[in-house]
Amino acid sequence: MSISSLLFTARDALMSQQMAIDITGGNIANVNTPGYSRQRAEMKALGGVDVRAGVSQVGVTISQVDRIYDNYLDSQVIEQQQNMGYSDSMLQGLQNIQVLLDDTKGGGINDQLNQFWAALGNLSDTPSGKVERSALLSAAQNLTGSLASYRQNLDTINTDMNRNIADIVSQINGKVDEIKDLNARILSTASDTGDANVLLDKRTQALKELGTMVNINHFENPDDTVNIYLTNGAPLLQGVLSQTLSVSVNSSNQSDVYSSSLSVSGGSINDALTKGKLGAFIELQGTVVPKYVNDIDDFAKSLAARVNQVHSSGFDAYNNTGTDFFQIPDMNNAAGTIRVNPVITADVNRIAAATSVTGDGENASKLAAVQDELLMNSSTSTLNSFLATVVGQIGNQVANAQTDNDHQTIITNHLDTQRESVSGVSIDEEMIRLIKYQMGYNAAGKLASVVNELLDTLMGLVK
Amino acid sequence: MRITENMRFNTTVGYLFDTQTQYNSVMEKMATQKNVNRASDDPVAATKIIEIRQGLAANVQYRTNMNNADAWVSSSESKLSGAYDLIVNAQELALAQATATADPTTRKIAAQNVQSLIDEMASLANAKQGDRYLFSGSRNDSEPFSTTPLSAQIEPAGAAPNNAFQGTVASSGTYTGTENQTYALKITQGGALAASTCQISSDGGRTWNGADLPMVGGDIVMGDGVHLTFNDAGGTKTFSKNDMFYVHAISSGYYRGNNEPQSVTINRGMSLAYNITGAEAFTSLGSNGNDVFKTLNDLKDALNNNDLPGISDQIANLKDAQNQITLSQSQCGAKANEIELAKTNLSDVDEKLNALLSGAQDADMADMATKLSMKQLALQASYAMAAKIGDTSILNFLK
Repeated sequence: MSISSLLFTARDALMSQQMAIDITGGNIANVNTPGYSRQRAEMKALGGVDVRAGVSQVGVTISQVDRIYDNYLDSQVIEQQQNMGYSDSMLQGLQNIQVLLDDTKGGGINDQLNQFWAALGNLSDTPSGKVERSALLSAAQNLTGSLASYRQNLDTINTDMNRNIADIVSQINGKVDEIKDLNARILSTASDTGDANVLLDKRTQALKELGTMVNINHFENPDDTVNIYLTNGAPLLQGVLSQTLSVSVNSSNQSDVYSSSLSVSGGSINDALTKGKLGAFIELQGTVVPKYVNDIDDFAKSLAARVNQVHSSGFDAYNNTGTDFFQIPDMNNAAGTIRVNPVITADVNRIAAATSVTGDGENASKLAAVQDELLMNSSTSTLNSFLATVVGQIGNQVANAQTDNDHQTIITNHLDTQRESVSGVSIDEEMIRLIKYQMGYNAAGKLASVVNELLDTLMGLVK
Repeated sequence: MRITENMRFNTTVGYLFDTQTQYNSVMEKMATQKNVNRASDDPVAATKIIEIRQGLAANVQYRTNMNNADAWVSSSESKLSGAYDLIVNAQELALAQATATADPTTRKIAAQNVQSLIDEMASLANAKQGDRYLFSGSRNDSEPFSTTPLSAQIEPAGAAPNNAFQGTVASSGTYTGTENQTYALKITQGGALAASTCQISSDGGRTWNGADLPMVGGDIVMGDGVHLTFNDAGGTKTFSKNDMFYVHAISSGYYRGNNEPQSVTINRGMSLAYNITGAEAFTSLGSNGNDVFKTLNDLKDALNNNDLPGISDQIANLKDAQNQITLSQSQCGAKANEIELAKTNLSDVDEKLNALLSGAQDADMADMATKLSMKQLALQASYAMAAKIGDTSILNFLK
């Protein structure tokens, strides 16, 4: 073998070590990049030794750059992101509702209701009192005002959900497009010699982000592209062919999500959207908010019906038969539209406090006693305790969502830690590798200079 | 296990947040002194808290009701005790004038004294609490007693101002009832006079006869000789449901109020009639059947007429009147006792509710203080750890 060929060996060694240092540098640079998988230069010996021919040509080359990751873990992370996204948004939405309904500290609708009962009690003590009648009117108006504002706030949450759903759907479409582009680039890179490690990392990260938004299944194709389906089988992405989701607000002011895919036969696909932020928003809008809207409407209807019934069995200060005390112009929005009968607002003497035309206060007592009547939940609870139950229910839902969220956070953190453990960059490790490759590089340099000296020696023989 | 930079930082930040959350939660409980600051802290307790608070609010109202009733009862009691004294005075006069030492002149003078006793009695029996007459039953906006006897009468008929019926209604007949009553008529089905139906009540609308009566002819017999006559102006005026008509009928005597109780709620489902009606205390509808004003007036007449047997008769009647008023006084006492008992009862309930409320929502300060210092320690440790996280790296050793 020739001495000069040793120079090539030295050159290959220098190049390989330098590339390994480059890769290490890349790892160090990306120590804080989310979703980055550390990379490793794979070195391979080249050539061989033929002792008989006296030929030895052993060199080194970088055969490939490995991306170190655990496919199963990544799938797990994407899966759990769906639960995490759902849990986060659900908790937030429920907390918003809880803020509206919570009465634990007082000052809410329960207190208004108590004041209404108290005003009726005072009127029963002094049935002819103008002050007591006016106080009752304002207590009743405060109560209806609170009911209306509760209802309005719930409606606002519903409208917010429409906005949230539209937002998240456009984000999903954007993310699917991004993954489609990545699929296309991975496909074209794979056909070249370069590797697609960075693109694969980016795609995994994009899939995770998509997972927080909606529940998906994804499969990798043999050509390294990925297909994404919704859980009802509707495709979002097949290789480089993407489908879009669209939203429209229906007549009951709720959002319906549609897929452009032909495999979904018309109609909204809301039922298939059960996880991720989108799943949470749809559940909040479709189930949770309507429940509380119904509760508060039921409350308003029962209150009005019973109070009116008792009120119209009595007589006002002018000996008229009692009119309706409350009016509900729109039964579909009972809590939002309930009001004190304008006849009473105009003249508090129209409040029917008496059970007879002699001006007693007994009807006011009967009205106050409505607070102890079991009017709600198929005659099992009073108006007050019904409201208390509503508060308990939202409290329970928030508490459950909180527990679920804590649990989900632990799982996600655990998986993140595992993923970090496998794919994350350790500076300590990279520094040690840096030292290793630096030594290799120095040694290869030394080899080159020794070969140079050898050649000098050889040339000296010729002189 | 491979430990990477991100793991170390993420874990540290995660623990820091956890510790801070726990610390803040304890801080919040310390500051508000409450264990339950929002429903989700303890949904069951939150429900309980709201229900207990309603119970407490209702009790406040019951107490207000009782205080009002109490004031009414004690006013009634003091007026009745005044009335008792007047009767005793009348008895003394009567006894003195029934002896042989009295003569027509002293009796005439005594008669004048009795007249002033009658006036005083009337002012006691017409006493007010606030704007309302104590002894006129539920008709407490009008003076219950007159000092001179009235003959039985049926007052003019009244129609509620918001009735649809624009025709006229008149009362007629001769009242034969023994008790003052308010008759009411409510239209149950509107329309022309001939097609309408009504129900009638003899207690001002508290209870109804229960069956729809035809209005045909326009002359409705309300009972005890009371008639209401409707004039629909030749069929041009129509009724609508719930139109109200009423008439007060007053039996002969001194009393114009009625015998209806007035009541307030003093506890869940418990009401207390707090008034003594003038009928019970001062008229022949009372327990001893003595009409106090009649007795006094009869005494006065007997004295004026120098009618010795008449004076003796009234001595017996005055005894009855005395007993009747004493009974009413003792009823006041019974009512006051009932209120007192209910108040005590309510205080017990309040105490229990407050204890429950405190148990459900109040934080145990000693426990909280201990927890707070524990969490504080943990938080400090977390900070110390976070500060050290960058110190341990191979970089420190590569020179």
